[in-house]
Amino acid sequence: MKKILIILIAMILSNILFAENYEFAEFLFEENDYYRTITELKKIYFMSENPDTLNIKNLLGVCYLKKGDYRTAEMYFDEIKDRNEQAANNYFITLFLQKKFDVIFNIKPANEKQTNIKFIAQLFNGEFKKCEFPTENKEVNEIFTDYYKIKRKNSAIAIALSAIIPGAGRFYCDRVGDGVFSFSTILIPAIASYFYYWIDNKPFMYGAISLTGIFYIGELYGAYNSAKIYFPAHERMYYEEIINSDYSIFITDYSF
Amino acid sequence: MIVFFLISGIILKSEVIYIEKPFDVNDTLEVYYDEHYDKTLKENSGELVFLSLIKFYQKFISPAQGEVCNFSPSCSNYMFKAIRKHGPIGVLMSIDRLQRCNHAVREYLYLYYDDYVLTKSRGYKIIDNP
Repeated sequence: MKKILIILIAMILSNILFAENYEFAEFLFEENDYYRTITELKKIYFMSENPDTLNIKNLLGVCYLKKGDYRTAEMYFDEIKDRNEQAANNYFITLFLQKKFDVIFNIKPANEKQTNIKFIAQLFNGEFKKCEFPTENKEVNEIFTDYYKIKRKNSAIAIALSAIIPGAGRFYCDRVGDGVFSFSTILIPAIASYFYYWIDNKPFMYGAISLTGIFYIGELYGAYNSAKIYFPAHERMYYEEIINSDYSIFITDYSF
Repeated sequence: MIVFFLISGIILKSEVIYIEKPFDVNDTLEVYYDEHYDKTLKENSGELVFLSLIKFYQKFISPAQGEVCNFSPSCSNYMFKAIRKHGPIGVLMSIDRLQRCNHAVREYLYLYYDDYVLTKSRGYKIIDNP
């Protein structure tokens, strides 16, 4: 009789304890203390008799995602994505954050959110032509509009500009500081060569001319390279901007 | 004079082939050793001349002006690495790097350059590898 009573009391106590843990996990989550939330959630998962596996795994995935551990988050979402819609949405987000666009393209989206993420992935993969809007969703259209605003710089124009006026190619690629500095690296030896020509010092004149030539070639290469990396760099910046923004597409789904 | 250049050339060449130490320990701790490239380097005397000149600059000229580069690895180390990695195109890349080495570089952090490193004597330097 005594034993049964003790077992009963222990069961009741454990239920109370785990219920408190769940609430405590939620509290920690709201406090952005993801490390301890993970501990609490794992404790619940390990110790309770019938744990809500899908929800706990989804929450664990969300915690890892918030922590920046995308690989572990992907593992959790991948495990339950076929049985839980929230996890499936989060799986899409995790793939997008890791730039695993190929994997996204191979999965058939099940709802609007997943479709929108797929559209944005296609946008960053360069699959849409300029001013092409595949959906009427406001947020997606906003992202598309801003993306289309990113300019592309032509390498040939940059080289031509630099060939005419050294530094102009870098100006064209919005690198004013580099443009001014590279212009001065060419102008100074050019003036020096003229000066040595004027005082008839031929060895120094040839030295200054070669220096001008070397920096001129470097300037052409620099202009070409600046134009080449302009779009990828700005695209990457915009990517970082949208994943850290408040767009509902990139907000994870979860429930305690 | 010729003997001096010959001796210094031999010393520099021996260093160039086997190891390249950074100018400053704070600058970078990376050692630019590439076994595959070093095998082909012995046959390419043009690049050896370039690398020896860089070594000469690092040993005898650079210490006089101190740590002035805005980047890590420094421009001479970048040149060394670029030539070893890309051959003649490395020379072009290095001239471009010299033209990029100005104070405006800090404006482009996170846009064109990913990271920076803190140094004792010169605040932070932008990391830019060839």
